[in-house]
Amino acid sequence: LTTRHFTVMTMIARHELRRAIRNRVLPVAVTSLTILLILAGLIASQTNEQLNRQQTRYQQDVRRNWIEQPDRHPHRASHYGYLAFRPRLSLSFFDFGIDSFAGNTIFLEAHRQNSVNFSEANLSGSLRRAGELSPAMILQLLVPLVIFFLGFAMITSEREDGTLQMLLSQGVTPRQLLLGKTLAIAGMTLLLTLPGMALILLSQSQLSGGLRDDLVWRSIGLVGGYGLYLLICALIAIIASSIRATSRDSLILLTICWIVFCLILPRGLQTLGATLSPNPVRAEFDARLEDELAREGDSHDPDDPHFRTLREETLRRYNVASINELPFNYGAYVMLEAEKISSGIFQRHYNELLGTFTRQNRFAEWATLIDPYLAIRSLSMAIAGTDLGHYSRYQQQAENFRYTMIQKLNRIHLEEIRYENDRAQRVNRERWQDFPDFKYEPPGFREVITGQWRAILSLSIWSLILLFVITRLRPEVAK
Amino acid sequence: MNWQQILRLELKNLLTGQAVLAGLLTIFLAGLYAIHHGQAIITAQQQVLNQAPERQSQHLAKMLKLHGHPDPLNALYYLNFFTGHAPSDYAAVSIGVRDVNPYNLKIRLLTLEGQLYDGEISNPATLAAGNFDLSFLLIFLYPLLIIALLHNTLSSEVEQGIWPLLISQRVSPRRLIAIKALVRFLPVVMIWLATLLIAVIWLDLPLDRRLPLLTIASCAYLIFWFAIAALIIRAGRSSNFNALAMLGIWLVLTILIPAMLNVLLARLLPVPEAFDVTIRQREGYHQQWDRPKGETMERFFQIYPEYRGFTAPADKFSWGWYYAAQHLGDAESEVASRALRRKLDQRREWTDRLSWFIPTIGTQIALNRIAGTEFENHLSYLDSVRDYHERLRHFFYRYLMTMSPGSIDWETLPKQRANGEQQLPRLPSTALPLLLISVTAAGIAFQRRRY
Repeated sequence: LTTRHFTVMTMIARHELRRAIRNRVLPVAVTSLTILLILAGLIASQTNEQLNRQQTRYQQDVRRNWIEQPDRHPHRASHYGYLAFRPRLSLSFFDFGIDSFAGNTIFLEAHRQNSVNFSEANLSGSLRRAGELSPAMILQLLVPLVIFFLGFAMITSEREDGTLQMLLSQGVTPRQLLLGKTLAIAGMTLLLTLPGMALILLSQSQLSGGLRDDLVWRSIGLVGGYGLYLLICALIAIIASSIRATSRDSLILLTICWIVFCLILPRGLQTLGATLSPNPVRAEFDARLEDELAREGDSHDPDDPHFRTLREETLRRYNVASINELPFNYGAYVMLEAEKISSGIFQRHYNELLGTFTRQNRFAEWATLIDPYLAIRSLSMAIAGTDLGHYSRYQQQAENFRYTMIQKLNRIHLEEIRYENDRAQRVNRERWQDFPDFKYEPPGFREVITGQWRAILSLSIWSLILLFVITRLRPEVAK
Repeated sequence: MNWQQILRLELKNLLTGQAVLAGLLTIFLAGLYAIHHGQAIITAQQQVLNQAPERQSQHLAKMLKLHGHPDPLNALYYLNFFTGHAPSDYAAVSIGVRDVNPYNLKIRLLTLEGQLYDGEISNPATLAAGNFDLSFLLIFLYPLLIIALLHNTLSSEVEQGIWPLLISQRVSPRRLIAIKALVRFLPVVMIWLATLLIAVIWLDLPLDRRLPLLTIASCAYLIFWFAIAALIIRAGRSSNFNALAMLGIWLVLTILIPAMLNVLLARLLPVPEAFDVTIRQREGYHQQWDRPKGETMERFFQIYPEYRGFTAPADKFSWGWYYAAQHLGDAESEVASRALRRKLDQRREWTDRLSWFIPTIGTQIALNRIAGTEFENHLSYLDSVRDYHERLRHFFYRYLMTMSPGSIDWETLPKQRANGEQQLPRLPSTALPLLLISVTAAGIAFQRRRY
C-alpha cells in the first residue's frame, strides 16, 4: 500500500463517517450502545459482587461452624462434611457464559459425591432461557447487527445513486473503495464499542484493586478476540453490499447470515449434539456406580469378597487372630480402603461423563471454524472464566478437597480411635483447625488460551480470507 | 381489476418468488426439527420415568437383602424412594424449564431440605444454548419471516413506480394494502398451522382444550407481528427503512428486553435463602449428635406429639432417635425454606407482571403453561415430593417409634401423588393482553387514511 492508496482510503472513510454523523445515525447508535454497554456491565458486575458477597458470608459460616465443632468422633465430622461454594471470577461479569446454568454450592461428605446445587436457572422461571444482558452479549449479538445496518447500503447505495461509476471513473480503484468503506465501518465500530468498554474495564480495575497480571492478559485476549470478530462483521457487511444488486438484497443477505450464525447454528448444533450423545440421568449414573461398587468392593456389604480378603490378609500380616488385636482401628482401615475404591469408581465415571459432555459439544466446537459467532462466544467465555472447562475444574477441585478431607479424618480415626467401643470416643476439637478451607483455583490464562485454538484459528482465518476477498472484489457498476 | 383479481395476482406473484418459497420451506423444515427435538428430550425423560417402578423394586429387594438383617429397619438408611414429575402430553411443544430442573428425584428418609434441590446431571453448555423447540421457532424465527415477507408490501410498488397505477384501480388503497399484506401473511399462518397439525399427529397430542389454547395463543402472537408490520408499512417509508424498523423492534422485543429483565431480576431479587436453607438443615441435624438423646426427642415430640409413647435409649444408638434427629434438620430450616419459596414466588410474580407488557415473554410463558413446563409446575412437583416424604416418614415412624417393631408391610408403602397437574390448563392470563394488543394494533393499522 502506498501513501496515495492510503490517502484515498481515508478520504472515503472520512466521507462515510461525516455522512453517518450528519444523518444522526451514528450519534444515536453510539449513544445508545454506550449506555447499554455501561448498563449491562454495571448490572452484571453488581450481581456478581452481590453473589460473591453472599457466598463469602456463608463460606465463612461454614468455616466457623467447622472449627467450632465440639469434640467429635472423626467419622461424625466426615458426615457433617463441608460446603464448597463456587465464586465468580473477576471477569465473569463480562460474559455470563454457562455460569447461570451451573450449580453454585456442593455438599462434601463421606461415601458419596453430591450434585452441585442451586444454579441461577434452578431458581428462575423460563425467562432465564431468553438470554442474559452482558457486555459480551451486546458485542456478540447486537453490535454485529448494528454494523450490518450501518454497512449494508455502503456500496449498493452508491450504485443505486449512480455515484459508483463516478467514483471509479475518477481513478478510485475498487480495492481503495472497498477498503475505505471497511475502514469507515471499523472506525464506527470503534466509536460504538470503545467508550463503553473502556469505562467498564476501568471501573473494574478500580474495584478489583488494580489489574493483576493474569487480568491484563485476559483483557488483552478479549480485546483482540472481539476486535477480530467485529472486523469480520464489518468485512462481511461490505462484501454483501458489493455483491448484491440492491440495498434491500444486501440487507436481507446480512440478516440471514446473522440469523443462521447467531441464532440457528448455536442452538441447532448444541441440541443436535446433546440428543445424539445423551448423558445418563442421575438415577442411571448412581445405579452404575452402585453396580460397579458391588463388583469391586462394597464395604457396606457384610459379605463382600474384597473386604473379606482384606480382612484375612490383614490378620495374617499382623499375625493376629481377631481384628481387636490389630495395632490400629480396623474399622477406619476399611473406610480408608472403601473411600479409595468408591472415589476411584466415581472419578472414572465422572471423567466418562465429561467425555460425553465433550461429545455433546463437539458439533458446536468444530462449527467454531465456520461460524465466527461460535468462535468468539467460546473464546470470550473461556477468557472470562465462565465456560464448561472452568466449571468442571471447580467440580474437580471440590471432589479432591472432599477426598483429602475424608481420608485425613479416616486416618485420624485409624490412629487415634480404638477399635473397641469405637463410637463412644471423640477427638479433641482443636484438631478441626488442621483442616484447610476450600478455595477455588481457576486455570491460568495460558492453559485457557491453548484450549481455544479452534476459536483463535477460526477468527484469524475468517478475517484473512475476507480481507483477501475484499481486495480482489470488483463491484459491478450497474446490476 | 376488482379485489378478487388483485388477490389472485398477488398470490401468484408471491408464490412464484423463489426467495419466498425458500423462506417458507426453511421454516417448515425447522418446524420438523423442532418437533423432533422436543420429542427426543421428552421421550428420554419419559423413558427414565417409566423405568422408575422397576428400578425401585429392584433397589428395595437388593437393599433388604444386603442390610435387612436382623432388623429390616437397618435397610431404611440405604433406601432411596424414587419420585417422578411426568411430562404432560404437550411438553414436547414447549420444553420450558423441564430440562433445567430434575424430574426424577430420589429421596431418602433423611432431612428433606438437603435432598430436595439436588440437581440432575446435565451439560450446562446445552442448557445455556437453549432448546430448539416449537416455542423457540414461533417466538424467535416466525416474526423474522413475517418481517422478510411484509416489509416491502407497499414500498416496493412505490419504489418500482407501480403504485400510482394500482391506486387508479377501483379498489380503495386501504383495501389494497390490506389484501397485499394478508396475502403475504396468510402463508406464514398456514405453515405454522400445518406444523402444529404435524406435531399433533407426530407427538400424538390428545385433542383436548390445550390444542385450541395453543392455536389461539400462537396465532395471537403471529397477528401481533403482522400488526407491527402493518403499522410500519402504513407509515409509507422506504423498504429499507421498514426492514430496519421491524428488525429493530424484533431485536428489542425478543432479545434485548428479556435479557435485560433477566439480569435485573437476578440483581433485585437475589436468592441467598438457598444457601441459608442448605446450611441450616445441616446444622439442625448434626447438632443433635452433640445433645442428650432425650432433648432431641423432646424437640421432635413437640412437632409430632403422637409419638410420645416412644423413648429413645439414652446411652445407645437407636433408629427412632436417628430419624427424629434427621427431621429436626428440616424443622430447623423450615423458616429459611419458606423464605426461599417466597422469594421464588416473588420472582415468578414479577416475571408474570412484566409479561403482560412484553408479548414475547407473555407468549413463551403462555406456551409453557399450556405444556405444563413452567417453573410453577416444577415447584408443584417439589411440593408433591415434600408431601410424599412426609407420608413416608409417618409410615416408618410407626415402626421406628415403637418398642417392638413388627414386620414392615412393604406392600402398603405410600406412593407419590402428582400435585394438581391432572387439571388441564386454562387460557394463560399472559396470553390475554397479547390478544388485545394484537387485535387493537391490527385495527389501527388498517384504519382509513389517505395515501
